[in-house]
Amino acid sequence: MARCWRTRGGLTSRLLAQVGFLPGDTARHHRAVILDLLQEALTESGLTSQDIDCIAYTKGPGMGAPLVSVAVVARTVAQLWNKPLVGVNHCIGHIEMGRLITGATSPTVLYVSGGNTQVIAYSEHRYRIFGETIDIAVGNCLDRFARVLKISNDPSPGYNIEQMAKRGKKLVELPYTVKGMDVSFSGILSFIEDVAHRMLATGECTPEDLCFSLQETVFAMLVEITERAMAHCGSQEALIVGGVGCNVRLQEMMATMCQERGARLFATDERFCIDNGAMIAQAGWEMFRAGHRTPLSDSGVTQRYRTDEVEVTWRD
Amino acid sequence: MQAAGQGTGGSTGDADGPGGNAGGPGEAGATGGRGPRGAGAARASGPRGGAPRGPHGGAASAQDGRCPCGARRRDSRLLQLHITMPFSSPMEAELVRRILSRDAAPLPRPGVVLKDFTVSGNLLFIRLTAADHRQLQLSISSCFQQLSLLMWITQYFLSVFLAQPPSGQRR
Repeated sequence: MARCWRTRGGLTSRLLAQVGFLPGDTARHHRAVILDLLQEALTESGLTSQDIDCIAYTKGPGMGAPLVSVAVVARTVAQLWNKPLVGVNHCIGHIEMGRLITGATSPTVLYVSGGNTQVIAYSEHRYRIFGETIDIAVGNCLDRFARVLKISNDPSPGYNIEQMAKRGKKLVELPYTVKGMDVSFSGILSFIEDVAHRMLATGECTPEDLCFSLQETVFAMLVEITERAMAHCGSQEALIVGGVGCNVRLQEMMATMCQERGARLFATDERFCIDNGAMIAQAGWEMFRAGHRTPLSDSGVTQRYRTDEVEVTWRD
Repeated sequence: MQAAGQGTGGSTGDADGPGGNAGGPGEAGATGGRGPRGAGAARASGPRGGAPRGPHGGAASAQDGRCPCGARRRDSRLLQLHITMPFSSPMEAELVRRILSRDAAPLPRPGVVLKDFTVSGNLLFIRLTAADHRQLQLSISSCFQQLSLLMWITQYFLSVFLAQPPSGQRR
């Protein structure tokens, strides 16, 4: 599999410095680079269009404009090359890539990113959502927290929060909201937005302390709901996927929980945690082998595509 | 300005945020004249150029919202844009129609831009209908961006496509 990256480096810093990823700008970026990327992938892998089995694309969830841009390319290439189309759920892409890379067989999955926070486990041909955020995703919480504290977006807010947290010494009590297997992060964000500047101005704590406290609090919430799901399912494996899964502190806390339960923790590095095309290809490959085909008439995109909407026919 | 993480209705296709322009690969824009060799350029006009005209020759997008095709809705606030785009062959026109029509809303509902794509010979007719001028502007921008991208793709891979047998069997 060719590994060609257009990781939005310069685009990331510029856009996040403003108000985050804007659908229009992101779509423009995708349109500008997609064909060169496609050609580069073919060249690097030494393949031609004749060698391609199918065209897998992200059907959702996500931002509408970028999804449509890529779907248009996928449909066109599929028509021109006369290849079948496979529309892939983005969340399932993360799961299947995580399973492939780590070798986990049937883990309880903690999917954490800027747009999604879910605890997922496989059962009877569906990736069932056992718990999720009832408001914003944990990555969204981290990014907006960084904006409040004016933390740099280069290379990413989450990474910088992680580095600053290592220097934090004081645990500030923040709202901890777990409801069964669901979590809520909006309260933490509101609290931080309300008191951060006052606390910093009075010297009550440092930005590093706040970063440390935020991580400890939100990650503890995630560990709790994951453990609850593992207990419910009798699972002995946990897998972390999604961009926030790169965070070493989250991995440490999850590892501690797994060790206490006699379970195994699986996690990947930033190459496969962060959104990437290879994970869509991997999930698309599984689906294609199982006989999934997306007819042109059904090749639209959907911004709200639930993980459990897909029938997972490639697993027993 | 769109807040991060908020989508803009992907099913309608007009998914650009405010301020989007008709940029993209090739920067085709709305004035036509640029495009891959052998394929026509998008232009919001009829065969003789000039003001945009619909497929039946009527003026498009009247200020009072009258539909140039003659249909008149109760609220009389519809805005329309008609685009006639020639291609080098009926096959190309039909290909583009099939691809773009997937993102068109199947049913009219408030706040959604209706998109109609039809083909006659090597001509692709696009009709965008909206009740709000701002939505129509966004949809026009999005439509031209997608057309521009499609033109770029076909230019890239057209030679392979034309070399395939007409019936094209799927694997």
